[in-house]
Amino acid sequence: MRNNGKFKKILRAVFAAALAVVLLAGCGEKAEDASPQEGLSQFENAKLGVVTGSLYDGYSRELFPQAEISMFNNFADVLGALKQGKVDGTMLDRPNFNAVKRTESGLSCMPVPGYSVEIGFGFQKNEEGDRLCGQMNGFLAELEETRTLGTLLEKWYGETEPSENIPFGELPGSYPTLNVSLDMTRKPFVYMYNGEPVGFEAEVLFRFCEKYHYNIKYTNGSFATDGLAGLAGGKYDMVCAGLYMTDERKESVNFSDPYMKADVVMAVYEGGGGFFASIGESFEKTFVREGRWKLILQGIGTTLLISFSAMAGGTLLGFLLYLASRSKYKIPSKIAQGFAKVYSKLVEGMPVLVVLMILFYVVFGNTDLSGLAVAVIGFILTFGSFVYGQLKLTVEGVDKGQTEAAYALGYGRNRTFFRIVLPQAMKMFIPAYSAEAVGLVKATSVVGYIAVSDLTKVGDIIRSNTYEAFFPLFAIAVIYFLLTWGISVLFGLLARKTDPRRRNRRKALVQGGEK
Amino acid sequence: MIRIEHLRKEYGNVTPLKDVTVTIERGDVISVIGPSGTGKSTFIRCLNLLETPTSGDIWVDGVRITDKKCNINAVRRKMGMVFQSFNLFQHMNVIENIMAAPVDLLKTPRREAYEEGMRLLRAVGLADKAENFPDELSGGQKQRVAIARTLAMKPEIILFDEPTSALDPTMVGEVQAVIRDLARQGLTMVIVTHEMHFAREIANRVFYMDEGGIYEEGTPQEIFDHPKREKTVRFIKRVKVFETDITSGNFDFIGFNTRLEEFGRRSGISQRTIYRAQTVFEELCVQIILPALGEPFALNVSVGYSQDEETATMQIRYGGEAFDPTTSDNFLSLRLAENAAQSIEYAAAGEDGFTNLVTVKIK
Repeated sequence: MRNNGKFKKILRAVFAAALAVVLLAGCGEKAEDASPQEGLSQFENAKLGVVTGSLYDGYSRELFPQAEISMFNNFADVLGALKQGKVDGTMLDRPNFNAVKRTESGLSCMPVPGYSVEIGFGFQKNEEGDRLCGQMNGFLAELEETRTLGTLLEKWYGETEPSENIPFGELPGSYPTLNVSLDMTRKPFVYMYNGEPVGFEAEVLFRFCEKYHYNIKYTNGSFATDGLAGLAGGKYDMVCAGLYMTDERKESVNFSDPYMKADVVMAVYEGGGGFFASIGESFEKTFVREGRWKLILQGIGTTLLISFSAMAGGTLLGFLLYLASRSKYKIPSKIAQGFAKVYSKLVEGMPVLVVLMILFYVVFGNTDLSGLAVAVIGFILTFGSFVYGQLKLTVEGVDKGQTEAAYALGYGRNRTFFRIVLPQAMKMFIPAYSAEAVGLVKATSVVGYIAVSDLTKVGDIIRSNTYEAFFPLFAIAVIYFLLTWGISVLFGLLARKTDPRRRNRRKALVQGGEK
Repeated sequence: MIRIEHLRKEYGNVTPLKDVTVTIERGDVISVIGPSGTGKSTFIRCLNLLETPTSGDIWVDGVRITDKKCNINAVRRKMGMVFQSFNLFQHMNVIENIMAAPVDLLKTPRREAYEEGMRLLRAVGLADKAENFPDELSGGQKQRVAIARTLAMKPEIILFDEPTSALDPTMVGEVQAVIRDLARQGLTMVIVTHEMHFAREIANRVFYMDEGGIYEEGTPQEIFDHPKREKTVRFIKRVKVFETDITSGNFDFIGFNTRLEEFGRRSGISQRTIYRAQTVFEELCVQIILPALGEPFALNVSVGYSQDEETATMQIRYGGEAFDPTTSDNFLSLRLAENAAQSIEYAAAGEDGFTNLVTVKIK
């Protein structure tokens, strides 16, 4: 153990020295010329960060079999880990590196000779896909001919941020619609600026549609978790995500001709002034620049929309199911009970994320239903199951004598339930409901997986633009906290309002006197 | 007013009510008494269908409520019930508890219901508790509110299911006073109770329930002063009984004595009386009767103790030819038995296959 620790220390020292050299040399031809193999050899036992499912997972294992590989969800997380020293390096393509380097001066790279990636657009593997792919290939060839392609590549993949960003303009609504999955965490291929998709691929897509008369309906989602699956499932006609054309992907994706062949580089980070160096700047980047606060507001809106729709729908569903299950008619009540049993067991036994993905890709895979609608449906199902179970529990918790007393006075079944039993069950029901509602708001943070831009997803998008790993996370956490706190305060008020003890005791008197 | 015919109620393997046929007249105040677990509560709860009878019919005011098409809610509105555990609505205060049913079910205007509720509260002496919640009241107060709540529906019949059993002894009186008051107003009432003095003074008819039905029925005088049937007698005189069948000569006599002692301790019988009972058993039963018994062997010994009269009686039943043990030539044993007894009576008659009966009053 101790030897190992020592060894690591030495390694780090060597690594730091090498970094210094690299930094001095910059990441240009010189470094490449010096001795690239020597530079890369430091990574043999290092920790490398890769994005889950990316090509670099394989490359890293191939080049550095001894290295420890850590998987991350997107590049912003890899960069965060890199800046924090959790990983020592990460491989990426040159355009991506250039884009990151624009804002991260502490970043430097060394080439990985012999490795390069071809990048292109993805289409469906069927006739329609062939047709679109053919059109795109023609279009790319035309761009090449008119030398526009080079200009565009220069513009988006150069070392300076493009000064003029081209958001999608208006395309006539009468054109047939292309369903396109855009992975906006893939700067500079496609990303978000001022709430609009931009980037090389976005611009090519827009020009393509303008020329071939298509309308664009885009969905923002990770290509790894959503885009490629949606393409295979027929949800999307096309995926723009700076896709690498690997042999494996070629089996299920119809790729356009590669519009570029990019070098692979190994990026390292040399401490550029701590993570909390400038909270003011972080704040400006996360909230103010490009009007990102609007994006965050939209995210909050989406999160709340899903949460409250699920609460309303789930409460209704749970309630109706419960009422049906205690119906005095034998057959409907037996059916409702059986259904509720199976349904709540199923929902309780599966992670909500899995339920959502099954709904999105399988159940509603061939429909036009948006991710938002599917998210609402999914959470209605989970919340409904809770409401049903909790109602059953709390209603059964009310003393049977209460029901008997009501019956003996001449109350019917329904009136007894609504007038006598339910108000007493509510006392136990509301606190549990409140806790579940808070849990629901937090649980909705997974909807990014089915291409919904909720608060969490918006945070990811911002992070992949700003490469601020931490500030947006904290900001989002604080927003979630405020949202859930607000909800529990709301339910606290409701609980107090419905507590008979806190109500005006003279109510009966006053009302008696008024009429 | 209420006619019950061949009422039967079964729960799984228990049948608390086997066959009950009885008629309750308007203005009757009926006390239902009997040992625990003899179906008293089941009986009264069948009357408003809180328990669904297994078979049999009940008519209330000419309406057959056991008919599936009968609107039981309408019948229940004129048939109130007071429970052992009060069952006040926990989420309403006292006056709301009382107003709820008239306002919800009879569409009584709130103001009227309120005034009537306050009048009833005054009648049960709780007008100052109108705005309290049930759990702020004592048991006796809760039960008085429950009675007021029942009265608010202006019922013609009130069923009381052990109304004072859950109360502290100090609070029994206040509730009984309220019920007594109602009896004077001529309401038809059925009261299940364990309070014998109360049962006797309030009722014009008493049902003694046992063996799955109304075992004996009569006026309070008939039931309490001159009960006719054996179990009624035992119950009224608060007689505790210890009974054993002896099926062979190899009977465990020492074990019998030990159990008799235990029974004496539990029933509050003095040690001396038990000792004398043991002497009578040994001398009379073991020494004199047992040797005279032939096949088939049939011997039954029971010891009864009346808590009211503080007397113990031993009954020895046996089969075979008529044999009077007082004529035995075992003078020593007979003398010892006679010394322990106040009186020894023999009869050459019996029931259930026994042909001889010896009744011994223990000193």
